[in-house]
This record gives sequence, structure tokens and C-alpha cells, in this order.
Amino acid sequence: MNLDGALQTFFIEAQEQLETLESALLDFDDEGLDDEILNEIFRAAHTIKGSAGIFGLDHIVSFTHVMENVLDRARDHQIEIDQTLVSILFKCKDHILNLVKFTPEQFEQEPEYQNQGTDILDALAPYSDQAPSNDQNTADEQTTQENLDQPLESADNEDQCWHISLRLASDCLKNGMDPMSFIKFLSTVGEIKYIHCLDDALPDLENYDPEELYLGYEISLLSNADRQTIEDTFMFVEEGSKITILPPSAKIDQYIELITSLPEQNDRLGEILVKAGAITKAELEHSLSGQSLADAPQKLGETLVEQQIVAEPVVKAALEKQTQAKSANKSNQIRIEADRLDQLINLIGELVINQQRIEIHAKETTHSPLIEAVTDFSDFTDQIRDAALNLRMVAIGATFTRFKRIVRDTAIELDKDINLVIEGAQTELDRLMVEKLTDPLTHIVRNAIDHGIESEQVRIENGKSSQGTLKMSAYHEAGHIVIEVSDDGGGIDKQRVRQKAIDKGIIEESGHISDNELLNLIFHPGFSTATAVTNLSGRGVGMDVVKRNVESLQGSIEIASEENIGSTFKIRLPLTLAIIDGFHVQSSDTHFIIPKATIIECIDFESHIDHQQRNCIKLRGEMIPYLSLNQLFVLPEIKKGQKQELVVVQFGAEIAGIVVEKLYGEIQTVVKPLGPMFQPLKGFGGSSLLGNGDIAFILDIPQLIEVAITQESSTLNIQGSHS
Amino acid sequence: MSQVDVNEKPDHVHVTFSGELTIYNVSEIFNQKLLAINLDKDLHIELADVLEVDTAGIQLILELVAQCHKSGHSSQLMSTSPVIDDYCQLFNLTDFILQKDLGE
Repeated sequence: MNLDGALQTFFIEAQEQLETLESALLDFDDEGLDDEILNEIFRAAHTIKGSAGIFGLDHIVSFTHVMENVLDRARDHQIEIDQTLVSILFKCKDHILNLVKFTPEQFEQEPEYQNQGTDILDALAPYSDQAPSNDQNTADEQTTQENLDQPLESADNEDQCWHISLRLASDCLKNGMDPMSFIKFLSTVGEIKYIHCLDDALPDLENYDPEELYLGYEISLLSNADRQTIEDTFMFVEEGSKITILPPSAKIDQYIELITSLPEQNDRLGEILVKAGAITKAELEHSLSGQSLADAPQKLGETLVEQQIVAEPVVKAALEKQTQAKSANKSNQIRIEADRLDQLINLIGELVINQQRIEIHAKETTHSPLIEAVTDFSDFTDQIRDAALNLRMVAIGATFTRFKRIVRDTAIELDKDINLVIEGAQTELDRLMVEKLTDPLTHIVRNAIDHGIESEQVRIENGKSSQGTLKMSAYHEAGHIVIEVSDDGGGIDKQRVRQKAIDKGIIEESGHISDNELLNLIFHPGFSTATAVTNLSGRGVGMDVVKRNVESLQGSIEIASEENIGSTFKIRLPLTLAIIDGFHVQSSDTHFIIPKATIIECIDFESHIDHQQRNCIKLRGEMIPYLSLNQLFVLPEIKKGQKQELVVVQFGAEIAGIVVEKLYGEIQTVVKPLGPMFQPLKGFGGSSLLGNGDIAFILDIPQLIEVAITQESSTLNIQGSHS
Repeated sequence: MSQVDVNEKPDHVHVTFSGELTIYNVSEIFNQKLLAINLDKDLHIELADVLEVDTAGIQLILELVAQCHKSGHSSQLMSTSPVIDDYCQLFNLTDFILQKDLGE
């Protein structure tokens, strides 16, 4: 009785099928026409249609039906698949992905999606043979030649009826499968000429379980569909069900075999079949009185199976093979909700904190067996923590693969020929990080295609191959993951960047600026070098957002670019956001943690010259702005004579100092996000519990550096106006 | 709200279904009122107020009818509702429910 669950499964399955479909379409792009790929695309569309039908999602069925029809024609080589059609099929995929989110009722409230669907169907129309009344005839006739199981073209209507005998699994109602949906779906495949509902299996009241299915069905279906289509209707209930599908061309013997194989009484079934028009009265009488029954004992099961196998087209075998492979693959994976995983990680965070507390207390004693036990305990806690964090790690490959589509679409739009090369797809990183990376990566990729890679003509003029290459790679480096997006395009025109920066007043005309700094200007808000603004990029609202996104993940981004050779964007990220290596400091009575990766050095604050009122100190000849945590967070005044330390931190190219009172040392800490109320607070990245139970705030260094620099320049301005 | 009323009269038993009659509540309905029903009598079924039905619901009605016939009595459908009619039409059950009493 878990219809929601079954529906949920359908959504997930449909999404998987759509992914298969998309990646098959992409292969198609790369390798051209291939029957195997085409079959894969067809099967995906077909499966979605079939299962949508079972759940009564008619809006999906009617859409996929047209798509399937076109694919079927392509499979039979009646139409050629070209780029235009592939593009339409991509749109179909997107549209179905939208459709599965809605119930038919909800869909009716969505005129936007309805129009979208109609547009796509219009685009598909030239490829489809569907004259309004003629449904799928042409496509199906084609298969008739190779499939003995097909209706004979010359036969009259009566003879074109398939006979379907259903004794479904008794638990199918409980599992949310109502025979009603199958019957409804069958009526979209053909016309139900006759249906008989058998109640023979109904038990006595005391043995009756209202949630079990006892009813049997004998159905006569007028349809030109092939066996697979009809069989697939029952895909979800195959297990534990006895389903016999007799083709229109079935011989009387096959019906007789069916009759004997079913639990109900023979003559009764015979009558039903006569009513259904499957056999004639004369045939029945003849067979029942004659030898057929006696001669056809229980081996009909075998015969039916045999007949099926013989009659099935190769497609079916391929489908089964694929299903098997898929289920084998699935058996060593489980799906769990992301929330549960997060909860586990959270609990393990608590465990780590408690372990640290125990460690502190144990060290206070001199009880060596206890200390030893605690050390072992810490060891295992670390292992558990690592294992748990590993659960959240996913290979970046799936994310990269998504870009195939973006690259393809963008390239087509801009009329460029681009090959996407993916390296290091196995590299793993935190799931949360993957999600947040998609946007910045998309922007970089689009930019690379739009501005980076030149048009075909320019490339040839510059002595390059006409096809541009975009490379996305990922690898681990010193506890970080590095993601690179590189192109073999024209590179960034530094002169133009410089001119633009001067025009926009970002830099002084006379000012000297290194190449690296010049390149970094493209991350400046409001900067765009594109002379023509396309709808893809070039609005100048991109790269600064990219940079900010990456920085919010505690990461950094670098560019390397050489004219006429290409550009490379290098994003460096920590492996996980859940645990950081930090440096524990204290100011007044408050504890802070500074992410270790940002720290350059710690120096004695007093011993350096303090440029009073400028919040700036001179360190080895360089002016460094600083800020005091006490002032910033309005903590109690520092006692006179209290020694102060300066932690020098760096993010990107910016350096700043942070004044604190006490340095404790390195600490590995579990990041707890701040509650929604505190999230707007600047300067904090989260909080953490210390071993002794105190709370420590994790400082958001990029934000603090920004604050330090603004403060410094504002005090400078004030001073300037005074003098 | 869905419910079932069983009203035993001297010569027949009157069963009235109303509201929802689906897999979600058939067990409850069956166990509450129908498990102990006396079907050694003619059966009159009222379905006029059934608002939602699925195969589990129809099967429950068919079960009552079948058991009634088994004990040598006849059943009669006193009233029906649009959802019941739709279902029976789809499954070619009109004869079965409406005219069963005539056939037996």
C-alpha cells in the first residue's frame, strides 16, 4: 500500500532513464549513427512511456509516445538522424524531466510547460509519420517482416486481437499497482475489445485478505503494437505474476494450452475466450472434445516460452541483458537520503569533540592504562570520522559529464566545433561542494567557449586545427582538490584587459601592473572584455561571482593565459567543508579558529612598528593592514600590558593581520554551520565546540581581509583629508 | 469519510458503502464490519455514496457477492455511483454487478 513509494521509484527511475538517454544522445554526437546507441535511446524513451502509463501519468505518455514513434522510425532507417533532430531530442529530454515533476492535474495548471511541449512536438512532426488516424501503423508494419509474432496485415480486425491473460501477483495491490492502471494503459496501446474479470479465486470470508488481489483478467486487445510494448505494460508486476500474451496469429492449440494452464475450469475459460473472440465456438468444441487437450499436457509453459524467445526481436534480448547488468550494478549500492548522512556526520562531529574532551581529562591523570585506552579510542574515532566523511565524497565525473551537454549546446549556438576532454573523472570531493561548483564551472566553461575559443575561420588563420579543445580535469594536490578548465583558444588579450580597466577606472593609466594582476582584473566586479555582448556571457556579471562562489567554499581561483595558446582556470578547493585544520586563538575571553591554510605566520605585535591610526604595520618592508578582533566584535577592552600577537593571513593576493591575545596552536575541528539568525553576520564561517566544551568561532578570512583593507584605506583617506 | 453500514433485515442483509473504498481503507472496512457478516441471506448493496473506488474496493464488493451466491442466495445492487459505473465499464463488470441476481 505504498503508492507514494512506488511513484517515487518511478521518478528516480525516470531520471535515470533520462540521464541514460542524454548520455546516449551525446555519444551519438561524437560517434555518429550507430544502431546500438539508437536502441539505447529508444529503450529509455520506451521505458519512461511504459512506466508513466502504469502510473496513469497521461501527460508524459502522450508526449513520449510521439518521441518514441520518431525514434522507432529512425531505428528502422526510415528517417536519418541529423543534428537538428538530436537537438530536438535533447529538448525532449529536458521537457520530460519537467513533466515528471508534475501530476497530470498539476500539469494542466502549467500553460508554460504545455506550450513548450507543443513546440517540441511541432518540431518533431516532420520526423513523425503520424497521420492523425493512422497512429503507429507505418512504423509497426516495418517490423512485421522480421517478427512472426506480428499481426498479419491481411487479417481482418477480429484476427488482429492479442489475447492477454493476467493472473497478477497477489501482492500487487499492496504495492500500489492497480490492474486498473494497466487496463487504462492498454487502451492507449490499442483498443480493448473485450475484458473478462474472473472472480473464481475469491476465497471464503474468513480467508479473505482485502489487500490481496484474487481477480484474474482475460483481455482481448486490438492493437498493432509489438509484443514488447504490450509486455512492458506489466514490467512492474512481472514478479509472481502469470502473464500470457498470445499474438493475433496464435494457433488454436496455443489457446488450448492457455486454457489448461490456468487454474480456472476449462470449459468456463473456453467460453470466455469465445466471448472474447479469440476462438470460435466450433474451434473450442472441436478442441475440447478432440485430442488437443489430452495431448497437450503441462509442457505448454515451455512452448509458450519457446515461442516467445523465438518471436522476440533482438532488441528484447538486448534490453534484458541491459536490465541484468544494471541490477547487478545496483545490488552493491544503496540509496540513502542526504539528510540522514548529514545527521551521521553531525553526530560523528560530536563524537570527535567528546573524544578530545576525554583526551584532555585523561592526560590530567597519570593513569597510564587509561591514557593508552584513550589514545586507541582517538585512533578509532579518527578512522570513523574519515570513513564517514568519505561517504559524502562523490566522484566529480558525473558533474563533468553534465558539461558535455552544455558544451555541445553552447558550441552549436555559437557555431563552433568544440571537443570536450575530461580527465580525472574519478577524483572525489565533498557532495556539498560538487553542488556549489556547478554554477561557477558552468560560467567558466561558457566563457571559454564564447570568448576563449576562436571561431573556426580565425583558428585556421592562426594555424590551429579547426576544432577547439576544452579540457576539464580534476586531481588531488596536497590535501586539496584542483579543478582545471583549459581551452586552446586565443588566450586573454592583456592589452585589452588593461585598456578596459583604465577606461573603467579600475587601474591608473600610469600605474605599473604585473601580468598576473592584470589577468586577475577579470574577476573585478563589472568587468567584461567582450566587445559584443552575447546572450551566453559577456554581461560582465560573471567572473566576480565565480570568484566569490569559489571563495565561499574556502577555495581559490587562478588564471593562466597565453596569447594564441589558451587559458587555464585553476580552482583549488579543500576536500571537505565539514572539518577544517585550524589554528586556535583567543581574544578577550572568546575563542576563535583561523583556517590554517590561510595563515602565513604569527608575529609579536608590539615589536613591529605600529602606524597608529592607520591600522597598518610594516612587515619586512611591506605595509600590512590589520584589524583587532576585540574592536571588530566589540569584545571587552584589552587589559593594559597584555601581550598581543599578530596572525598574518593571506587569501588570494591579499594579506592582512589579525590581532589576538593568545595563541593556542593547531586544532582539527568540526565545522558547525551557524543558525539562520546568525548567518548574515560578517566575519564568521561557522562555529565549533572545543574539547573543554567552550565555543569557538571560525573566522571567515576572505571577509575579514576585505574589512581590514577597507578600514585601512578609509583611515588613510581621513588622514589624507586632514593633512 | 468512508464507512460501511451493515443492516441485517429478516429476509436480507443490507450493506451500504460510502466515501472512499480503496486499498487504503479496505482492510479497516472489512475487519470492522464485514468479517462477521451473515451472508446466508439475500444481499442488497448500496453504492450511491461511493466517491472513490479502486480494484481493492471493487474486489471487496465482488467477494461479498460471490460468497452470497455460494450460499445459494441472490444479490442485488440497489444503487450505484459514477465512480462505480466508470470502473465497471472499464472492466466490463456491468453485467456482473447489476444483473447477477437475475442470472443465478
